[in-house]
Amino acid sequence: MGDSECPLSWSPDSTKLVYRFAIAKKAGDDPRNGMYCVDVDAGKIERLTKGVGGMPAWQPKVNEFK
Amino acid sequence: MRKPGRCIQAILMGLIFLEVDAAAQEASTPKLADGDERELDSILKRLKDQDIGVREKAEEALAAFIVNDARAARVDALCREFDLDCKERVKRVTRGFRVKKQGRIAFGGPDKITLINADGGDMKAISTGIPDGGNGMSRLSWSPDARKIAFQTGDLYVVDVAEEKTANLTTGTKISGKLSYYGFAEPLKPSWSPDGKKLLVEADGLHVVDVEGRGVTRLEESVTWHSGWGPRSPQWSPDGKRVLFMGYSRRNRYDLCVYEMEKGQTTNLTFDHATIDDSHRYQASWSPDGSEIVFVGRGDGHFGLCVISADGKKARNLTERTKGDGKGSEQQPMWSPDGRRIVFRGRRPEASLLSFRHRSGRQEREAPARGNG
Repeated sequence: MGDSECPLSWSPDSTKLVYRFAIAKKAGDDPRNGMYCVDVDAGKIERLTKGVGGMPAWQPKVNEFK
Repeated sequence: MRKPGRCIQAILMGLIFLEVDAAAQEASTPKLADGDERELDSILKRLKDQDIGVREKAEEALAAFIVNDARAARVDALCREFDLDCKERVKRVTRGFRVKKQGRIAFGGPDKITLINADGGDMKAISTGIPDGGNGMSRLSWSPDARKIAFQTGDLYVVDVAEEKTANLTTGTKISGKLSYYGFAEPLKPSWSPDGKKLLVEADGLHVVDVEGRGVTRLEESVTWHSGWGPRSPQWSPDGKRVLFMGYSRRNRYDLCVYEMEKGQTTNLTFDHATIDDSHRYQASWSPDGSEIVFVGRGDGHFGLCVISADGKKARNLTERTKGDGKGSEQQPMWSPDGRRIVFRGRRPEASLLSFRHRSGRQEREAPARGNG
């Protein structure tokens, strides 16, 4: 049971979200596989990469200098 | 007699060229406004102070000072006269500025980590020099200062993004992602401490790993579990004082537990909670302010999302229970960094939606979990 790898990552300003979409097929990768970015308020989805890849991680906002 | 003269002349010429070169470089960097120049001069002088406390404060001041390219370039030009140690410290701060500015997305490949901009452009590969053994790099996690990325390929690694140097943090320790865990590789699932100095991992118990390689501390004495099912998925609270994890309780299910780092005590948040009387509870996520936790509750084949206060006193269902047949079952909830929303998705990718809810539970938006490409 349990805790599967979470493929979602928020942008530091909370306006976007990036995720990996991957389906394994015997005949090869699904053509929809890739990394996508969702603009949360606009509802717009943009494809960033094609193919299978690892879990995305959005660089955090650095504020320790303040 | 003429040869030594030529040598001296050559040396002098060399010095002159160096001098001209340095002067030319400084001249090519426009000066800042007078007030900014004075502030920068004061900071750079303090960077060379004998007192380490003064130097550390000066580094912080320098980091706060660098808010644009012009200031970063000016600092870079002026620090040429510094000694190596001072130069390295300035580099560290300015590198942080450049990394901060980029705001990039990282993902793992077979033997490298790739960085791209949010628009998909400016792709850059960081070689880790680690053969993946066919498993690929997973669990990528940025350090809070955005300079390092932790990942696992079996063992636990940290790569310095700017310097492209990778360190194996499991070498020489008793933890290893390669150990058997009921027939599976160890999950590890590294979680950064808010100060960026440690990583929490799950490896036959919960461990705190020092990022600089100064050792591993096991939390097992204070964490109870039963039937051989170990504590899972540890996450540091936003204030770094608590650790959230899934603990296998006497009710033969996973419950949400919080370990207090200072007290060394564990509290089971969901053991007796009537509001969320399900079986397993998992895939938990702290709210950014550390006041609440969202998680998946499962019981009788039904899934739903619940929110519980960090002290375990208040709990509520965020979504209605749905049958866990793969369609519409809610999974992987994550709080947005501003704490306003929770996103989650269905179990089966082709049927799933990304759903955004206000933290109160109000439905805000849904989007298919893929694009049109």
